[in-house]
Amino acid sequence: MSELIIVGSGAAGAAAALALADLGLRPLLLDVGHTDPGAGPRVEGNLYDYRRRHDTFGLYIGEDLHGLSDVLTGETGIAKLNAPNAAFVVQDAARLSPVEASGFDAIQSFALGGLGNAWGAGLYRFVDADLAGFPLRAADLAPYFDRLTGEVGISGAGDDLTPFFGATAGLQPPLRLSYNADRFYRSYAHRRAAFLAQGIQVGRPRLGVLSQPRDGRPGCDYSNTEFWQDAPYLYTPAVTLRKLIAAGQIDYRPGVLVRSWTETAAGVVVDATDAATGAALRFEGRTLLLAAGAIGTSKIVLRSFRDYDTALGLLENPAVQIPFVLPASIGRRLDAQAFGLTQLNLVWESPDHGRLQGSLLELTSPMRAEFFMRFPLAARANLALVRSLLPAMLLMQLFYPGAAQPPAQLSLREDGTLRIRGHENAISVRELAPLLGLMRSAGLWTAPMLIFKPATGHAIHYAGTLPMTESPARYQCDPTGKLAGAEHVYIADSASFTALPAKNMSFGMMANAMRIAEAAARR
Amino acid sequence: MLPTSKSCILCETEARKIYAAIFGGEIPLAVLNRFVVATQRLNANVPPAETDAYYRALLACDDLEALEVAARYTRKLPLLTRKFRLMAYLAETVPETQDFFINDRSNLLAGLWAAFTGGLRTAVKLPAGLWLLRRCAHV
Ligand SMILES: Cc1cc2nc3c(=O)[nH]c(=O)nc-3n(C[C@H](O)[C@H](O)[C@H](O)COP(=O)(O)OP(=O)(O)OC[C@H]3O[C@@H](n4cnc5c(N)ncnc54)[C@H](O)[C@@H]3O)c2cc1C
Repeated sequence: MSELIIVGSGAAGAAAALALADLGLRPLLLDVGHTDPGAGPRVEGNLYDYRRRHDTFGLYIGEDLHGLSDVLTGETGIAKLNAPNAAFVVQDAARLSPVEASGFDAIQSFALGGLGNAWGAGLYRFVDADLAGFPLRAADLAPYFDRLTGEVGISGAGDDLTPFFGATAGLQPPLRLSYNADRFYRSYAHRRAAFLAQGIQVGRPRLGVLSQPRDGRPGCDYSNTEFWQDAPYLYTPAVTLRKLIAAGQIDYRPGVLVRSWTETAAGVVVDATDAATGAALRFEGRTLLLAAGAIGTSKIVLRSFRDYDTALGLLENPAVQIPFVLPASIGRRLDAQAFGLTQLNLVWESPDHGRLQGSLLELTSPMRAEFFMRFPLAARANLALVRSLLPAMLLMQLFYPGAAQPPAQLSLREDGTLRIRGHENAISVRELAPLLGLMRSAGLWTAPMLIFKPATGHAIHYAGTLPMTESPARYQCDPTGKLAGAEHVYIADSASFTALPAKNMSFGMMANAMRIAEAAARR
Repeated sequence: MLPTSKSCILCETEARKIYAAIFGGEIPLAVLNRFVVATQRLNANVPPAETDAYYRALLACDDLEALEVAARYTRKLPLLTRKFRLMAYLAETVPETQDFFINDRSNLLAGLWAAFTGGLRTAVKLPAGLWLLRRCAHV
């Protein structure tokens, strides 16, 4: 029998495992655990030098045409997950966890390291305002944030966003800004008073991306390759997992699909199947920590209670994507020496939805063809814009709090299919007028017709199905993450969030997973 | 009517016409071969009535660029825009086409000129495409 069993090796599972390893415990980690076969081509040096000399079909598309998923299906997916090197991240998800959804596109991962293999590594501490409604305060998470900052290697800076992003201790210097981001940031500095008057502040992101070498990992090389291969300077949960496995600090069992648990006097019996063959497997432990992703964890809980009626409220951040053009950069050569993801963040105390958080992204890493039909002109004219306008653009992904729209309803059918009933993204572009006006004054132009509303589910910040409260009822957790109605089961991932702030939530979830793992171990 | 085989002749015609409409000139062989495979995969995901209408229009119309922009604005023949996107993705993967996608030298005037002429080009192509939609695409 194991003392502690963790289910899932994503950001939450990896953080929980780290906390237990720090306590000198050796948890059993059950996971499906797909890995990157590593067969794809690798870019040495800069993406754009490489493109001029090499056929990039294998890098961008792949023989199985994975990179063309959106065009072939006619759907709009997540560009980063369409990269051939990310195919393993969502491999087999439809078979292992079928979902029947409306108004919600659920992205699930069964990979070692989970969805974090494809993330943008925007890792932000939660401050007290983010924890409104939670039965805990930022100070409760602070030691775990500090520990994780050391583990991950985070770059960032003290600036206008420090009150929203928390302590700066242990941060590496921020990454070098791309040409366009730098221009905008200078312009913001000149107009700062006007921005502050509207409740808008801009600053450097907190990224799990090294700006300088550290622990044998290199610093960012500004090669634009982030979409296309795992970058050693960009942290993913698999980094921690692999370290713990190599050091023998966890007992990692891949190929295991957990179905449910039953409690005994001594602890839990976990029922699972071999993910490949379907053969039944069984594990015994004293305490169970569920970290299978908010959706996966909810499924295991509902199945363990044999509940095929209850619908749990599933939170997600609605979002909008705003393409901006810097007129002064039109015709400029492509900034080929850039970090291809988040350059800057923006926080807006909006009149309609409270605090919103935006990420200003550089567009140098995705394929240019991704944008070809996003322009409204004839094909050759669009192609000319890809060449001359795209290098003058930044994209803002603006997150709204989970409370900005009603939660989706998640339930389980007896045949194991999840049902998710969500709501179409109903964010009103008109409400953005004050923000867009100010951005224009700082040199970033857009047009409302270009603003894109991603499908609900595409922020991939799922949370809140089993919320923590002081006095938990059914399908709630206590402040230590212990699930009501179960003696030995803890919810370590964002399923236990009480609310979902407008913030990339993974770092908050990781710190909380460490806190819960410690509480479970102490019990 | 529907292309079925791997070396589908109609798909080759399709590839050449779409490439010429977007980039002008001869399609690189690697792009042609990949398009032929990918277009059949795409067709398999689309109702036969839609592919039939698409191939009829493709064969009947010469100015595919005009037809596509009009189809996009009127939300007709959605398959045509998907095929244009497909071609752009595939074409981007070969070194020969890089100058279409990447601007290596800064030139503000050239950039503004591209935007201006792009607008003009669309103003000419759109009405032409609307006419084509009725004359040769019958939609
Ligand atoms: C393109 C992209 C960009 C993103 N960018 C950011 C960002 O910048 N910042 C941020 O905070 N977040 C970002 N996210 C979101 C972030 O990646 C996820 O919120 C986070 O990784 C979720 O971690 P998790 O541990 O809860 O679950 P997951 O990552 O979903 O991991 C679930 C784990 O559980 C295992 N599992 C599931 N079910 C079972 C089962 N039944 N039996 C056994 N094992 C099981 C899986 O194998 C997997 O290991 C991004 C996501 C994507 C896709």
